[in-house]
Parts: sequence; C-alpha cells; structure tokens
Amino acid sequence: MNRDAIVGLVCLVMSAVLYATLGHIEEPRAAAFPRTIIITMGALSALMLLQHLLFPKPQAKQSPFPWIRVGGLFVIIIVYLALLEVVGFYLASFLFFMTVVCIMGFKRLTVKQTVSWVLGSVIFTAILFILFSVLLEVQTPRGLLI
Amino acid sequence: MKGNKLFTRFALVALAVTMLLACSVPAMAEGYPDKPVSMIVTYSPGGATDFQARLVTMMAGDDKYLGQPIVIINKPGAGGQVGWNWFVQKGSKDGYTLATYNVPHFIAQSIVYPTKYDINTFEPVGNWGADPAVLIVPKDSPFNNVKDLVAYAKQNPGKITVSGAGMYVGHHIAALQLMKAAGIKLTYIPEKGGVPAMQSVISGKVKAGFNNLSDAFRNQDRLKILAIADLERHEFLPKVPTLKEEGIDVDNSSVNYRGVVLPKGAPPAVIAKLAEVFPKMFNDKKVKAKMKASGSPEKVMTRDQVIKMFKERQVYLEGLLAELKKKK
Amino acid sequence: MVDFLTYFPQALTPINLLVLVLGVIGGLFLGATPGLSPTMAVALLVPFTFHMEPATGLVLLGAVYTATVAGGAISAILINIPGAPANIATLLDGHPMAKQGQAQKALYYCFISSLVGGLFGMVIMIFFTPPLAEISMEFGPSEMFWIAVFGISVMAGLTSGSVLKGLIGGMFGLLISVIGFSPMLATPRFVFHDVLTGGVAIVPALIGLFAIPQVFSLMETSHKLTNDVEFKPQKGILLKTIKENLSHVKALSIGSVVGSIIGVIPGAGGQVAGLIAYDQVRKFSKNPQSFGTGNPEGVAAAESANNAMVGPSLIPLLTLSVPGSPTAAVLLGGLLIHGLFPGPDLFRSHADVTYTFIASLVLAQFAMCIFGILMARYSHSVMKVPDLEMAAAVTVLAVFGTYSVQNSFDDVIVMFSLGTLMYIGRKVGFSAAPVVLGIILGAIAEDNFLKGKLIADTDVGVLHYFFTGSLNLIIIALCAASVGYSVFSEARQYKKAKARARAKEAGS
Repeated sequence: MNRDAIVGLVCLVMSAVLYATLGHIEEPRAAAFPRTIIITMGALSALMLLQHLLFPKPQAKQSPFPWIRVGGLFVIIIVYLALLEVVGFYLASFLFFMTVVCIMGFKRLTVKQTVSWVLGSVIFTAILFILFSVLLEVQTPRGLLI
Repeated sequence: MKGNKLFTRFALVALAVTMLLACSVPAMAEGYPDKPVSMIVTYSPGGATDFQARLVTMMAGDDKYLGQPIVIINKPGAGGQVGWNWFVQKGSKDGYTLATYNVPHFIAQSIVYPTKYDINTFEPVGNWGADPAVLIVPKDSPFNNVKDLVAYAKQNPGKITVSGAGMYVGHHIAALQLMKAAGIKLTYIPEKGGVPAMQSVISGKVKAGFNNLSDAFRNQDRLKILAIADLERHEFLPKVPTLKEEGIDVDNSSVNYRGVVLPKGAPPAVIAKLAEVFPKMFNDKKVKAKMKASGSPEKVMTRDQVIKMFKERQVYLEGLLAELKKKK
Repeated sequence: MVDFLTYFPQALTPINLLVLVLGVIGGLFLGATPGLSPTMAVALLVPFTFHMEPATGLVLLGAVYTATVAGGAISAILINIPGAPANIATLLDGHPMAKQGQAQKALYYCFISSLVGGLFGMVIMIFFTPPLAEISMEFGPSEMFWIAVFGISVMAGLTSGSVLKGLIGGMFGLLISVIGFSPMLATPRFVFHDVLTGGVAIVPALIGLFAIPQVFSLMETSHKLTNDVEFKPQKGILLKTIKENLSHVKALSIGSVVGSIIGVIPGAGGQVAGLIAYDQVRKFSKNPQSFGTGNPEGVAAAESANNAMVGPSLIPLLTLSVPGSPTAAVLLGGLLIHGLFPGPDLFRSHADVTYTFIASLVLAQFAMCIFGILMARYSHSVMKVPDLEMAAAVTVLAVFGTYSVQNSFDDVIVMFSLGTLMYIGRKVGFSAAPVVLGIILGAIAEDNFLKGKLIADTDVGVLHYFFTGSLNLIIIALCAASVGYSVFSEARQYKKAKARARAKEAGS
C-alpha cells in the first residue's frame, strides 16, 4: 500500500468518525449541511483509496525526516504558548526567540552571534511593542511584564 | 555559552523586579484607574453596538471622567455568547475589564442556553442607548399599515417572512410578541446581523422585518416604517405610531438597551466610581451631539435604573420564552 | 463625473495630502502584519478621526483601506503568510518567485497590478454607481448560495497536485466553517471543546494554516547555513518590470473585471476575489502547469482583482447605506460619526466631503504603488534572514496576529492546532488554499441555503426559488462551465502526460 492510499484510508476513517458524531446536533436542519459534506468527503476519500490501490504510482524516495528539529520546535512552541498568559507576550516572545536560536542554532553559538541575537530580538519585540501596544493600543496577552 | 548564562541572570533579575511590581498592584484601588481600561464588545467591528461603544467612550480619557482611555476589544461569536462567557469566566475582576451589554439579548440567551452569565453575574454601571425595534416593509409593499399586514397574515398563516438580526435578539422578541398579541403566524428569518436583515427588506427578499430604529431612520427613503415596538413614539420618527396605538398590545420588552457592566466581584469602590462617572460621561455635550448626528438614539440610565430594568425583563422573558418552548 | 472633477482639487489640500501619505505608508505596514486585516486596521483608526475634519478623517480611512489591501501581499510574497484572506492567491506564485531570488520583482508586480486593478475599480465606481447599486440588491439568498457553489467549484484547481486532494481539503474547510453556533438555527455543532464555542474565526485559521507549516518547514532545513539562491537588490528592473507587467493584458483585465464584479456582490465575497480571478487566468492560460511555481501572471491576476474590489465594494454602502463587506461596515461608522448618512443624500448635501473621499481613494492608489515600490527595494533584507531566525520571528508574529484579532488566547490554540495538522497534511500533498476557501464559503453556502429554504417554503417552493430568475441561471451556468472546463482540461493534461511518457519510452 503506498502513501496516498493510506492517506485516502485515513480520510475515509475520519469521515466515518465524524459521521458518527453527527447525532449530537439537536436540530435536524442544522445537521443537514455537515452531513452532506461528510458524505462527499467520505466518497472522495474512498475514490482516492481505490485509485491508489488499483493504479499505484511509483513514489520518489523521501529524505529522512528531521524529527529532532521539528519535534524540538514543537515542544518549545508549546512551552511558549503556556508561558504567554503567565509572563506576558513581550517577555515570552523574547525568551522564545532566544531559546529557539540558542538551542537550534547551537552550532553557530558564539558570543558575537549571541549579542546580535539578543539585540535583534530586543529590537524586534520593541518595534512590535511601540507600534501596536503604544500607538494603536492593540491588546496582547498580559502577564507580569506589560 | 557565556552569553547564555548572562542572559539567564538578566532574565531572573527582570522576573524578580516584575514580580515585586505585580505584588504592589492590588494596593492601588484608590488611584483607579491608573492605566487604560479595556471594554469587551461582544459583536464585530462596524456593528451598531461597536460603533456606539466607541463613540460614547471617546471622552473617557478626559480628566473630568476617567482620565484614562477605554480600549475597545471585539469578541464576537454565537450572538454575543462568546464574549460574555469570556467576560464572566476569564476577564479580570479588578475593574480594568468592562463589557457592553445588550438587553434583551443576553437575558434571553441566559434563559434559553446554558450560559455562564445571567443578570446576577453583571454589575451594571450605566446605560447609554435604547434602540427600539421598528416594523418595516419594502417600499413597494402592498402593506401600508400594521392592519394590512395583520389582515393578510390572518388569511395566509406563515406566509409573511419577517427578517431580524438573529435568534433571541430584540427583533426576534418583537416578532414573537407581535405574533402572540395579534394572534397571527409569521415566518421569522434570522439573519447574521442587523445589516443583512435590513438589506433583505430593502431589496424585497422578505416581506417584512423588525430592525433597529436607528438603521431604519437612516434608510427611511427606501422603506416603509409601519410601527415602533415601544411605549411612546420616538423623536426621530414622530409620524410612526407605536404598535399599541395600532391596537396590538406589545410593550417595550424588545427595545435594545445598550450599556456598560463590570463583572460580579469587582471592587465596590470601582463600581461606585464608574456608576457615578459613566452616566455623566454619556451626558457629555460632545457625546450627545455625536450620537444625535449619527442617528443613534441615546437614553442615559443610572445603575439603579438599569438593575430594575434587568429584573423586569428577566421576569417577562421567562414567561414569553417558556410558552415558546412548550409549543416546540 | 463633473461633480467629481469639481471637487477633486479639494482633496489636494496640504493637510489632506499629508494624511494621505501617512495613511498609505502606515497602511502598507499594517497590511503586511499577519492578522491585521484591512477591517481591523480601519476599525483601529476610526476613533482617531473623531477629532478630525470630516473630509480629512475620511481621507485617512480611505488611504488606510487601500494600502492595507495591497500591503497584505508583502508578507504573502516574502514569508508565505497572507496578511489577509484576500492575499491567499498572491502567495501561490509570489512566494515561489521570492524563493528564486525575485522578491523585488514579485513585489513590483504586486503593486503595479494593484494600481491597475484599483484604478479600474475606481472608474467603475465613479461611472456606474447607480446601475450597480441596483444589481447589488438583486443578490438574495439563492444568488449568494450559487455564488458559494461557484467558489467551491474553484477549489479543485487550487492544488498543484491531485484534484482529489484539493477537493478533500476543501470539504475539510467547509466542515471547519460549521463548528460553533449555527447563526441561523442557534444550535451548537462540533463543539468538542470550550474553545470552539464561537467557531473558528477566519483570520486565526488563515494564519495557522499558512504560517505554522511554514515555520516547521523552515526548521527542517535551518541547519544549512548557505542559501542556494543569493538575495540581493535587483537594480534597474523597475522600468522593465512595468513594461512586462503591463503586457500581461489578459491577466490584468480578467483580474480587474472579476474583482469589480465580486466587489459589487454584498457579503464576504471580497475575500475570494483574488482566488477566483487567479483560477480564471490559469484556466485561460496556455501553460497552466506553470502556475504555482512562480509565474508572475498569477501575482498580477490576484492583486489586480483584490484592489479592483475596493471601489465597487463601497457602492452599496455609499448609495444604499448597506455595507457590502466587513470593512465597509467599519467605514460606515467613520461616516456616521460626522453625521454623514450614506444614501443619495450623501452626494447631494455633502457632495464636497463625499467627492473628496472618492478622490482620495484614487490618489491613494497611486501613493500605494509608489511607496510600495520604494519599500520593495529593501525586500531582499527580509529574504536574507536565515531560516532559523525567520522561523522564530514568524511564530511570534503568528501568535501576535492571532491574539490581536479578538484578544483571545483560545484563538491562538486553535491557530496552532490547525497549523500543526496542516503541516502533516502538507507533507502528504494537501494545500492550505482550498481549506481556507472552504472556511470562507461554508458559512455563505449554508446560511443562504437555509434562509432561501425558509423563504421559499412560505412561497413558491425550494426548487422554483433556487432555479429561476436570470441572475440565478447565469451563476448556475458559470458553475457548470467551471466544473466542465476543469474536467475537460484534466482529461487533456492526462492525455498529454501519457503522450509524453510514450515519447519518452520510445526515445529511451
């Protein structure tokens, strides 16, 4: 089974699960539109599954997926989001930026580079702050620091 | 890695300083407000509530009133439920987060849905506007007065389509009241807001509609305004009769009151201060002039008057909506 | 027209010009910030106009509106995140161009096409307001429903890969649009978690679907320090680009016409003007495969359509007091605050202010183009930012943009979850554009169908209601043509590919 066939299967299963949850909608008229879409989606997925089962296309080899880099960033972003409402947008963003560049850019870490990163992120958050919080009064998540 | 260590130290110091600052905040209730105050508007930018909220708070920065600006934050969704739920659940209770209210919308919602808010979770500080619902029909409609419409509806039950700004808003309440009082059946078409509902009437896509008096007033060349769902005629439209004058017993329960609330649990000193300042601010000459110029009907009410009005509406709407539920 | 010329010089007072220029420059920056859509930007500025002369205030709002619409293309081209829903079509070809070291050219294309489209839209507005106002009122529930169906028919064409995946993605988007309270029937649907009560707002979804996958893919390659492409200012290409751009008559005219037509239609239509124009230009092109890989024609089509929409979208507002788009609704506030009630009266008793406003919109088109081109000269510095720093900065911007829309942390969570899902989707060949189109169109399709059905049931019956009336029939015919053409061209492509494969076999 090639990749696209699996994708088709996953979409088909997803449609089935969503169809099963339709029951929670009390008003029958409100369920009509989602039902139509889910059925269409299921049909399209089945079509895709069949197409790739019956006529599999040869697929290019993919380079190994950089799990550590992408997964690492994912974790850092989760922490960043969790911190947002605790320490406030500007401080959290500054910390996030420094963490990402220091951990992911470990190989490039020199004093000079770090200084430029600190300066860069300070200027970046300062511009955001002045432009939006001061001039336009756009709200950002508030925390300890502004 | 030196830079890294240095940075950690810097961050720790920064954290310590801010924590100290944060601890000293609650002690400063006297100086309220010492920073901008935010106000949640539960509808999207450009709607009548949003527009009027921006207008009536434009003088807040003046030393006569708050001395600090009020920042509008839009949190639309589910007819206002998203914003009000957020306001009572997650909004800060220190007096720096206010919200606008719309009666009868929020009261009706709190009766029909499992909302986190009802009249007891809000501390009103002042009312700035009252926009009655008016019954409108397209320019080329065969109906010239309420009697024509009622007579047609009696012969053709359910054949008259009536647009309004959504479910359980003032327009919907007015339509329900009209049906009940005149003993007729209409088909209510809930739209996404007052503007599309108005458009449906102007273009003749529906046969009639309930809409805001202010919007109908601005569009009176393109509509026929049959009646107003209030106790008295309105100064903007002195020629338009009330539904009561037309022999249909409908009171002012559908009038859309707009004002400002604090959440329950806000410091009493802040409630007292805002309850004193806001009605004055709404009565400011400049605000009044702008409200009038923009065709927005103003009605300033104090905290006590608003609390009384909330209670009256609660009792009435419970009755009206209970009947509706039974029929279902 | 005579009135317009009489009042034109009034727009040229020093203070108005100053406000115009500041508004345009500010608008370009605001537009380039993800999350700050034209609607948001104008809403933020309305309070500033309280204390201004009516004309000056309106000049500011008009300038900001014009500039933010075009400014959204800057982030679309440079960092692959559309500043507003309207700019999705721009990034399909604009970003590949930037990746190939042609960011500056792509931006020139964007602003020149914006100017062409914008002027076209203004001309339509100035000359044809009364008849178009009547047409705009013809769009009722049935017509809007078919418009949404037409938009859905465009979905299949928006993926560079398989048509099936485009459609599945579109269906997924339509499903997302259903989440939350149904505005018509007030029933909650698919509210699996509290954060979904209000449904998925379009701007957070847009940012998540485009920015987060971009962040992760930047991270995949961020350990490579050298770029394959050198990013440096492209000197002396302005005149050449202008000439080249204006020679794409077909793309520009399709874009301008489609944009103007969609602008007149009230409702959320404006957001999809760029995508529909893009799809049409591609269908009429001799080599449709080149779209999505950095074809400047795609940028020209999308941006001319976006800006052509601005003028006509104000027609229902100015003549009938019915704002046709969310931005127009906010502008209505800007008019009311000065006691200007839209309607025929506006052109009679307040002609001076009204025409100054219209004149400033025309002038803003030029200012937008000039300042946009000036800014484009520095675009290489954005492209030079290493992937790692870019990924971090884009994440911060995405969070900021999402939060600022309605101050909601829930939106940030929705944005990130959708984005992560889209990243996985992108890995297996799905695109974000059909999903966004689905989110925009879903609500239009369903609400109008239900509304139409309610009205039809009291009257002539559903079939009759949706399938009669000349406007309905025209749109249905367009839908049929669009689908028919897609099938036809798919078959043709398939044959061509087969022939090529056979030739290859024979050759080897």
